[in-house]
Amino acid sequence: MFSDIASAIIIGLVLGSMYALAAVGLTLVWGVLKILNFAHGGFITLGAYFVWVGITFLGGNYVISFLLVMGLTFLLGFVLNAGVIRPLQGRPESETNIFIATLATSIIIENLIIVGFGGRYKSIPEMASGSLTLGSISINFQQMIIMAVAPVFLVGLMYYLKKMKSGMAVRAVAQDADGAAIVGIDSERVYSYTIAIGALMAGVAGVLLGVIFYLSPGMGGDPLVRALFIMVLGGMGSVKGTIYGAYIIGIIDALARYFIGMFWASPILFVMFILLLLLRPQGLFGVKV
Amino acid sequence: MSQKKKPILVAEGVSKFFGRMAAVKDLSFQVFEEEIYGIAGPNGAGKTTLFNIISHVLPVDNGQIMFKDKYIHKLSLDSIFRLGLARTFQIPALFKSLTVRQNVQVGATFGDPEKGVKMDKRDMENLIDETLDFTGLSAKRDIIAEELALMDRKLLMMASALVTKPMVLMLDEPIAGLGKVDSDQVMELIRNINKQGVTVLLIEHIMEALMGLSERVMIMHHGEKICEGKPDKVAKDESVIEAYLGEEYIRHKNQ
Amino acid sequence: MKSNKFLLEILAIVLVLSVIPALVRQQYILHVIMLAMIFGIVASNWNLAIGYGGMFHLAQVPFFAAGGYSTAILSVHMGLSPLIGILVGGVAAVILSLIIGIPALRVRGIYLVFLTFAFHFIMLSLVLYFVDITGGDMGLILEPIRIGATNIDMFNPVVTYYTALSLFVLSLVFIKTIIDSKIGLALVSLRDSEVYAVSRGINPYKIKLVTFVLSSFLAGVCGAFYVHYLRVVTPALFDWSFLITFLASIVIGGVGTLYGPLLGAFILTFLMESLRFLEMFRNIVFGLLMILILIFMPKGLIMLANRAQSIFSSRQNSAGIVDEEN
Repeated sequence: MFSDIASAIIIGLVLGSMYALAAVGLTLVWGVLKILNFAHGGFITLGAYFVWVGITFLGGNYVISFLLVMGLTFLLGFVLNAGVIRPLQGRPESETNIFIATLATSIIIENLIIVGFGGRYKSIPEMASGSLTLGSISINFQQMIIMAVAPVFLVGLMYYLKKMKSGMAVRAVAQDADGAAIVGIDSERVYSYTIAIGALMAGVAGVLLGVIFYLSPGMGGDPLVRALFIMVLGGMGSVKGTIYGAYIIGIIDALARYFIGMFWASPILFVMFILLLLLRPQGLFGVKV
Repeated sequence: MSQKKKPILVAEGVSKFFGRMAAVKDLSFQVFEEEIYGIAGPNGAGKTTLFNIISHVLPVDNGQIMFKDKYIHKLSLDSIFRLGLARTFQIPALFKSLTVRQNVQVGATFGDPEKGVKMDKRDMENLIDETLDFTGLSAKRDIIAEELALMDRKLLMMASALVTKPMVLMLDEPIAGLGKVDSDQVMELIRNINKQGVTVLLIEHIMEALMGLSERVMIMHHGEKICEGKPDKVAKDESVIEAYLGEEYIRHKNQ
Repeated sequence: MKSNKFLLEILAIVLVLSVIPALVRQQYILHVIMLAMIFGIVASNWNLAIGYGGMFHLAQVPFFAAGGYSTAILSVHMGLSPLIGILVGGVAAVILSLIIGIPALRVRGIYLVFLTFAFHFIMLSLVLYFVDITGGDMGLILEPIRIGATNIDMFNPVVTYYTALSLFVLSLVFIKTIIDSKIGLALVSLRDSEVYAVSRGINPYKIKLVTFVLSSFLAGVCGAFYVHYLRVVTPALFDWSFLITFLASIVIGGVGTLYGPLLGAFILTFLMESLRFLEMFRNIVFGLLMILILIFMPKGLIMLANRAQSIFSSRQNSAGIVDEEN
């Protein structure tokens, strides 16, 4: 029993790491632009496929492939902003229209992947084989890498937001766009950076998901729904709350998979999501909406 | 004269806080049936906030508000309107894609002109036409509201309230921003509304208008009532001159 | 005068659509037009909530699927007549809309998106899990709707076509009635200025809930009609491609317009059929079209028709003036 729970919690931390990366970008974009970027799931998928391409065609170099993913998703984030989001911002009905447009973007991404790589499942070769055994609990090296990589990015993001000049501008715009404009912050620039960083985070999440799960053109959908859940749980727009929320959801997800069954993990999370929306829409850590 | 009449709107110790700042602080006053009650005070005195908590655009934090022997501070904005307590807004609001007539029709349809009795279509049409006549908007009835000038926007906002035959009408700066001719017309309209038996609460920056129209005036400062009474008495009050006219006087001189 | 104009428009639509079966002999084309009508109904009812009500949500596919599965389950397991099943489908969608709408419409708009999104997945999970009832992945084989002795299915395309046409007209009248009613007036007011609308006696929660619920009914009816027409119900009813088709119909045709989503549905369905050679690129084309239209023509393609009409009438005017001068 103990080892079951321990193993489940380890899986939970692995899932939580991935969910944190998947959700944090979504939260950041919501916090700064007050828009829901539905293309986020598409960027998760892109991250996974880019790393697969890198590894398959670039001689199996994980580090270079990883950097490739980061660079590409970051750039595509700018493209998303310039081509889809910015033209719609500040117009009547912009909230709904941006939602529809980013949904359309995710459809485009999914189908581009189908066209480019086919609809069949793919898998990324193992990053590292072998595992570490502690008594009756074993952790494989891939899981350990994921648990280590995610915090690097999360802490990196926090550091960027807290200490670096452009990161502080992002926070300033999130708190008070008008005030930020008065002190000379170019909010348009901050918006495009924010979306690009969000896209990069989604790409990294996609890489880690791709390492553990199979790749399919619609693979971003599931983490996207969980990311939405986590975003609400963490209090809409709070990066810290989102990170806590992600690990909580990861562990619940793993326990459900372990003790109730694979099939039920998602429905259970959805029911919890609905209850959260109805009973505590401001999230665990948030103030009243 | 007003003393003989019954109070129709009573606020008892109402407060509204924004964070730690009190926008309205422990304020009590009574408005009597069929009077014009003026509210004045320097910018940021809490006048509009007071309107917002009476009409429940914002919830009141402390205290009670009574309208016609009924506590209303827990009712919603729309149900307060249906009871017969209507308001206008400082920045003219309108349904921009509807015609002038349809703007008034919204009030007639969702307000409750006959207080619980369903109106038939013909009666409602007549009521809308009468209200347009009364407010002087008949000629512009088919114009899309977005195209109206400031004066007509203010009139339209009053018309969409009047059409429901409210017992109390709260006007938030109905005259500010208008030229001489227009402001005279609005003042005349306010007197006519009052003559029909509607109690009027009036916020107005233009002091001549406020003092000329109101039977009684309340002066607010930092969210509190500092003085209340007949206009001539209030104008001479030491605390008012100090707190209010000081700032306002300087502002006027600078303009 | 306004309602006269609508009457003429609807007569024109009925006239054009009812002569088609006499002119077109290929059953396939009738099938395509019929699908366009059905999808157009679902889209334009969704538009009632999105475009007129300003409530963006993702429940239209769940409504459609609830309609399909409720009649399927009841007719397979309890022998319900599919003709009644169409109504049952509408009722099922209404019940679902109440379950979602009563709690969700009290909170901010974005939560409606979340909630409806979660419902989509939960319903799909339930359908996949209760294999005994729903047939799971394989789905259920269904009886067709029968009117008298005639089956409404693929083997009777002409009768089916006219049944769909009646639903189509019913939907148009239904939506027009709502837009012209008190509810429509309240919706426009709320869209123009919410606080002011509430200050004039409109209860926004009530109006939004009523609109949300009304917009679900025909989606459920169409879901039921659709599965009996195909004579099979499968989890494919929850497919994203439905969501894309309905949403793209609204956006491409014109958000918040009466005829826009219908026009959109016709354009999309025909594009879908004529772009078959593009196969996999089809959805990419739809996605791009949606984005381009949102950016460059936010009122949709129906605006082109309106503009053409106004140019035409203004030309007539100026021609008239020239005549007078002569």
